[in-house]
Amino acid sequence: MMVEEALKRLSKTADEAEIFHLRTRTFTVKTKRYGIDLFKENSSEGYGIRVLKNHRMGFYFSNRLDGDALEMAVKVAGSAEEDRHHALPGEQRYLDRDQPLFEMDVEEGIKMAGELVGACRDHKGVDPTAGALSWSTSQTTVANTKGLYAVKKEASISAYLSTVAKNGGPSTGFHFQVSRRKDIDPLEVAGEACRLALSSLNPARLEAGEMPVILRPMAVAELFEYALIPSFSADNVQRGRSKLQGMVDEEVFSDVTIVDDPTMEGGLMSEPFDDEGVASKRTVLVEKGILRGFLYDMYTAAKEGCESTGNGVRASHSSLPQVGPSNFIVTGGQRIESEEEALVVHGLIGAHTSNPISGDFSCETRNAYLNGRPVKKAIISGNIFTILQGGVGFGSDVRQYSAVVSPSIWLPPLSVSG
Amino acid sequence: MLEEGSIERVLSLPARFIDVTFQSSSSTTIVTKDGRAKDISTGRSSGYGIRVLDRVWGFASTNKPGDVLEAAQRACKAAKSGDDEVPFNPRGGVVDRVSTRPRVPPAEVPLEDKIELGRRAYESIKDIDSVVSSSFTYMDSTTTKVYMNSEGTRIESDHTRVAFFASVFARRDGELQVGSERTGATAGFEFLREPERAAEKAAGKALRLLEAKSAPSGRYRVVLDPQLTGVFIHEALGHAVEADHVLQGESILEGRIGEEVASREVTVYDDPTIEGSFGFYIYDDEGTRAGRTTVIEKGVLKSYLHSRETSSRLGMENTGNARAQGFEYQPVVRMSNTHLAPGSAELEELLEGIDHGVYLLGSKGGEVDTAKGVFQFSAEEGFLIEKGELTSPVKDVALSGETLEILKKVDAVGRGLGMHIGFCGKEGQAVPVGDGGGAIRTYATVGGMR
Repeated sequence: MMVEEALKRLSKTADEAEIFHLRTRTFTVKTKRYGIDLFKENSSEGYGIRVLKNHRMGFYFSNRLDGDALEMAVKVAGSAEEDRHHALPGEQRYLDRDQPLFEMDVEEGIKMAGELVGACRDHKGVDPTAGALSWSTSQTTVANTKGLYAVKKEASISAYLSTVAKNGGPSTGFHFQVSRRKDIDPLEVAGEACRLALSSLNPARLEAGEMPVILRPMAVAELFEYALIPSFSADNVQRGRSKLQGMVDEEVFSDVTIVDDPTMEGGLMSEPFDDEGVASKRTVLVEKGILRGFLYDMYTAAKEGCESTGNGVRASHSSLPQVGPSNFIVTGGQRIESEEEALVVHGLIGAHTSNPISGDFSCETRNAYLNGRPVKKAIISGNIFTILQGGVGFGSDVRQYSAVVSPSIWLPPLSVSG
Repeated sequence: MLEEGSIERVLSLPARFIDVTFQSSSSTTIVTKDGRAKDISTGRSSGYGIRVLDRVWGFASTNKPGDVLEAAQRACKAAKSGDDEVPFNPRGGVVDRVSTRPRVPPAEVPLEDKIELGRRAYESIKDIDSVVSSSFTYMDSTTTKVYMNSEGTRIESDHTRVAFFASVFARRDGELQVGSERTGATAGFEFLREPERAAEKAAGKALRLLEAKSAPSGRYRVVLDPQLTGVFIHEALGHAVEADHVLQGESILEGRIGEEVASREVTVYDDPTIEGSFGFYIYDDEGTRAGRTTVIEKGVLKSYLHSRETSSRLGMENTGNARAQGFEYQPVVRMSNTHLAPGSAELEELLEGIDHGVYLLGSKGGEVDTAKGVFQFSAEEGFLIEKGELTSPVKDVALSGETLEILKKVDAVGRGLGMHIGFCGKEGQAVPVGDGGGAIRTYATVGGMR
């Protein structure tokens, strides 16, 4: 059954209905030490059917769009609770920008994966452990009975590599690149992963105490994803799960600006519309330290009587939309003055154990250095809100990892234990 | 529907070894937010996963029966690339049919009854002082699988799992804390009789955390409760004995079978055969019959965990630990139910003689670097131990250290096996596992926030 046909049928049995259709194809070449370990191809197609009937929502997912699936969605709505905040968007105007698409064949991918591990031979004393090169294309359709019919096509490519250096160690390195264009550099990924492992050899034990910390962009992204971003979700705010609740137009941070911008050129999360079909737009969350707003999907927006910010995100066709960031861009007025006497941290272990409400975190570091010398083990602890209030410094090495777009960030003295 | 004809053709493609998994599942997830069953998601999925071994592995998955043969042919071609030749010992075929036989299949339970669980959980905690918000998640899934390979094996299986997750938020004087609780099993709807218990436990934790002070930082004598012991055994030791990590040079335990790697108090098992457990299975995802594996016996490393490939590469016995999240994924070496065998000490005995230490309970997750043998994870809550007694509650406390050092310093193990459920996320594939043990007493670095 076609999407239009399904919506036509549902309009007879439900008040409103939506079909979310996702088709993806992903190729992965995994590496192990210096060889190819696995070639993998996944293609999948699925539908998420959402219906509203008497303000009750039903949802059913399936690989096939057939009469049974439509009926089940309507049946689920019959058992659900009434909630007047369920809403679907009407027709939208989308930013007219071509998404970069590219084709790649299997041979080319295998060759690139070979370059990724092969590049490690130029670095003595370090070997690759696991790595992968992966590329994918997807097509998303969101259509509903209120006249919305939106289609987007996307492509992306990524490479990662883990390395281990044994003499004077072991020490490990990890690096990755992701892009929506075919412009990733496997040599840079391998070079950085090797460099990190080698430069972490023969580490010194760290004395516990307080010291400034500089997080490199990967570590910033790991920490912010778990400790900071959840507080900007209107769902968390409305449910009393955000420290920022009730603080709009108040000064919450020092000179820090945060913008969620799905229209950003070349952003990993850039897209014309979100997973409910709402047109993408730039949302200022924090302006020079002043809280300006939160991220909304259709449901949370209806609850507050405002408009969705276009942040309805689905993990797959089988998931309901939830509030999530697009490109979460962090900038600030203060520069990093000096890296001396600061613990420079490339990555974090255990950032997902951060408290998403209080912002408290305590993480082990990966590839950490003090005055250019590697340190053996360091746990950094603190509170993300206190830190951002206290004045932080920004570098110029802007990178995007997952949603977070940020340079290195200097943090005022934190508790560090060895 | 399983298309037998196309499977026949796939299995006879030219390669050293081919297997096909056809999987069909249905599931229900209900998220009750602050008393409202807001997100109800039901659905079904099915598809084929094809694995080809020639020089290296090729893998393809699709949910379109018409694409199976073509995808398999591409996987066959790719599997001929590379200079390596993967060792893989052949074996005879097995034909079997197994089932986890739930007493009350979730498919036969009206949706209203499933929604009711979240409502009951909410009712039990909504009037507690300081409780401000709650989320409860009900999940059931029923999966049928047909595993077939080019050696003539054909195993049909079905598996039903249920789970219930609770998280309760409490606020007092501007301080907000969350307590969580998980319960689940390889069973039918009958297992989830008391959603209130999970809700009340989660609320209890949140309220205790409101009272808690920040934990101290430094090296301490610590006691880990059975749940945290389980997480430690899973994260720090378990991942290091996964033979794929060993082969990748990513394990501190490489080449140490038969050596003393822990104190004599430590015995560790991985056991998928525990009836009703979350990590239960009869055959792993490459058709190997599962059994209990002794990983460490009285401090001596006895075995790694293996798939067919890793056991062939290392010339060791296959332990049947190849598991995949679903048909879209290739099986990798995974744990099942991993636990440290309980000892005989009561909690009081474990605390005795600790002048100044920390008792750590539960886990909020963690990570491990198996190559360096270091780990870090966060306890849900803790208490200071002063002169052998539990005193002030502490919060946001991370535990870290060197795996082997901590295992060697275990000088007492508590009685009673506590098992907890979870999903292990190795290589981006979430598979259900159980972990636990008796409580242990050892030394570790505790990182608190001051």
